[in-house]
Amino acid sequence: MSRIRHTWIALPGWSSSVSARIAWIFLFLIAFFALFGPMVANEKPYFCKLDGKRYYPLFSQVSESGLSKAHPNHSPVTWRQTSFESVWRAPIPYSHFSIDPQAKSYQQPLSYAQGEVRFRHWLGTDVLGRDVLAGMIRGCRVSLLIGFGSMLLALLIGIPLGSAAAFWGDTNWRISFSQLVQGMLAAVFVFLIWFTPLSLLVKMVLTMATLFSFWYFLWRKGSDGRKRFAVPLDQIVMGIISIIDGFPGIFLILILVAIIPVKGWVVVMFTIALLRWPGMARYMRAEVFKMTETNYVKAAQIATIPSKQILQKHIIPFAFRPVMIAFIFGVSSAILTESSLSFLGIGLPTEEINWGRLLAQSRNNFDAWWLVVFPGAAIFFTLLSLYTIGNVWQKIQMKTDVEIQR
Amino acid sequence: MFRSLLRRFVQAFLLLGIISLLGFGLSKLVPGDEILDYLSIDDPRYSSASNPLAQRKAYAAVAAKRGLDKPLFYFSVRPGYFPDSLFHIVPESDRQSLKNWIRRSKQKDAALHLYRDLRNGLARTCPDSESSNHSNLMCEGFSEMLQQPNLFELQHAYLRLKNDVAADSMLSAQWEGLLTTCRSDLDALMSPNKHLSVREWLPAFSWYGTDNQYHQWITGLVSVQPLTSLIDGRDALKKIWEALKWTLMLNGWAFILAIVLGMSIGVWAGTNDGRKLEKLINIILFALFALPSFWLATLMIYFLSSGEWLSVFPSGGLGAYRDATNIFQRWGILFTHLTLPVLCLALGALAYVSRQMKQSVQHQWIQPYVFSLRSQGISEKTILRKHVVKNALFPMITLIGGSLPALLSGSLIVEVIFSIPGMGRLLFSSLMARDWPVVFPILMMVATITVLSYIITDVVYKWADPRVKTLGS
Repeated sequence: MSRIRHTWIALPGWSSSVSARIAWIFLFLIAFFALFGPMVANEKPYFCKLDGKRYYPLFSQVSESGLSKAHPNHSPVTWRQTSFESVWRAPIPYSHFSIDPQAKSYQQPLSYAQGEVRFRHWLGTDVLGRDVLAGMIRGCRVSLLIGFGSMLLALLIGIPLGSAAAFWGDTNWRISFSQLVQGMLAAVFVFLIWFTPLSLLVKMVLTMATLFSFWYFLWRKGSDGRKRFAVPLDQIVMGIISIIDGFPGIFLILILVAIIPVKGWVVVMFTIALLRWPGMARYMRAEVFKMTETNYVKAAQIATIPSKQILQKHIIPFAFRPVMIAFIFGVSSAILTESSLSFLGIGLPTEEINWGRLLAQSRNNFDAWWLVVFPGAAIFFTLLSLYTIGNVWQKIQMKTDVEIQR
Repeated sequence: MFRSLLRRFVQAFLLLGIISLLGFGLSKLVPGDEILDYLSIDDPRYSSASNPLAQRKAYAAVAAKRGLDKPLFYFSVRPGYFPDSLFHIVPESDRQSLKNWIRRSKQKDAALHLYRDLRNGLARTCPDSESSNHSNLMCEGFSEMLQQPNLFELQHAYLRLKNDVAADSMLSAQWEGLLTTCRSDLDALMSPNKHLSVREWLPAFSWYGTDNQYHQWITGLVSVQPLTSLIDGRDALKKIWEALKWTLMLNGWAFILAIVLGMSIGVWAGTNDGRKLEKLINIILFALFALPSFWLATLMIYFLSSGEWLSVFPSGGLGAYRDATNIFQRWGILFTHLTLPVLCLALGALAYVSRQMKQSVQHQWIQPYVFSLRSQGISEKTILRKHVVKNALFPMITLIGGSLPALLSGSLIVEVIFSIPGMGRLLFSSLMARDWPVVFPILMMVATITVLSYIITDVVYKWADPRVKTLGS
């Protein structure tokens, strides 16, 4: 026990590997930009003073047109060109959408046409004269949001299904004859309700009520008969997984993006989650399989602890770390998928800027090397950091596994 | 063995059936009207200038040609208050508004009557060729009513039309009867139906037989009659075969390169773990693993073929390989064009394969049988060649089996960047254009390969390692 060192940071791999530490720092940097991106890169100043009046445009709803109305002698007020009495700008005085009229398209990195040094474009501009660095800072948010969001959704679906499939298998979840009949009856009732000429809301309420009352009054108490029928849970889950795997990925992505009525990053997140949960479920299934073979689970089964309790208290918590490793690799592949989709121009609205979009722009003009190098490097290093962390964590996991077995 | 194999094949067949159903259903859920898209682009008869009746006729002709006025499936289950045969009503927008009228009013007879009156009105008032102003007014009015899903809006549209007609005494005298029948149907539709019979509360079921859209496309896949692409009218299977050739060429070379190189590096790294060179190679492979293929491809084009730095390779496409005079020249042209994409695909896979192989070899080196072989005085080389590598190949079976579907379905991004007309690009562009006769065969082909690859992997496992007892358990 004395060998366990308590460091103030409990991140996996932080204390044992330098590369993992660098990877964590890089990810924190990306997360910082994702959270505070609008503070770092914004055309609105934090603070400005005009005609003796103080404004805080970045924190309030003050707009250029509003200021132009309030101060007609300065009209039109623009954030960049109006000479404020005093002004305190964001470190990068461009938003991802703001078009710099002075910068022509495809401005070289570090270039500034005229004016102050602070208005230089550190990483150049794109075809419309938008700042690439501001676009990349915007990209952090989209990438992390979609990467982590979609994998969390995938976990939410994959963990219950995968562990249930492994734990109960094809034969272990048994129901009695009366339960079978009740289940079929409930299905028939729901079917009938669904085709009545009632409104959708009433139908939904009725369906919920039917299912709940069947479960509460009949199904729960119908467990005293002989349990003769096994529910092939494993086959059902694996069947669903092979169906999803059977489709070409791009077919599902394109059709789901068209079908799902919400637009923007949410639809991309849902689509990637739908494509990724089979992987998580498969992984969880293998982990739980391994664990049901261990002696402590067998002992618990012999001690007639209810199987639900074994699953909840003794299996799922211990499968947590291996699943987290799979989660990290999953996040990296989700980010890769998202940027590939943006590169192809699928999913996100066209005005949204992210790493994949910036990289795609380079295909129109091969002189613009900065559009090739910087966004691609951002994707590459994010993926590399995630892989490094996953890898280091996996090694730690293997070591502890060996120790436990001894 | 035979029985379990048979069971697996039956299961695979079932899965393919479900996939085909789901694929068909999903394709029907895609919003938008494909016939309208086709007509507005390709058909000269259909333009915003032509009158509503001509537009509907053109639409109906295309729908009949594509079989889109048939029922969707072998049977349908619908609410009892719905009429049976709405599927033959085209255009789609008219059908949707009719459905909405019935859903709101719960009166199928009145709604169908109104629909028939309006179509009748269109047929009688719309000019055939020469346009007369008066009839156009009626014609547009009826068309507007047909496209109005909301009942109140429908009433407003009717009143507007009636007012317009009343202003013209000659017109009102001529079409009085038509408008009155419409009026009575509309009134019936607007008065809520309180007394639904028991039959209308229960779901209704009807059987359509094999003359339906799903049957049409599932038999279209296996029939001798060629499927034609909706975009260019070419034979869909021929199009797919041409794309498949390029994808097989591209992915096949990348696959061979990745497997051969990756396995050799993996075996070497597994036996020389900890050396300086091994560490360096490990780091490089790790970085390659994280390298997004589209970035690698763009970098390659930028540095090796755009003329900015070097201009060694052509930047994309397949070149003029058809004009080549002899086979060497032809393969020479293809070689220069395919090198970059093949490398791009192979490098990422290489990193993965070699990592897997290294782990597998390392795992074998610590097995007890290696110690026993060593104690018998067998040289390390022989142990490696005859035992370790052989046993370390097992995980590769899963890896190769799992990558079979990807081998055929193509890699969209690399094909797009290097503009190679492969499967990925064909599927992508066909999906974008809703060219279902091309999409469905590809979908079913990929699904079949995926499902078969599971079985093949199991069989090969069983053949390679007889200890594996049952198939697929």
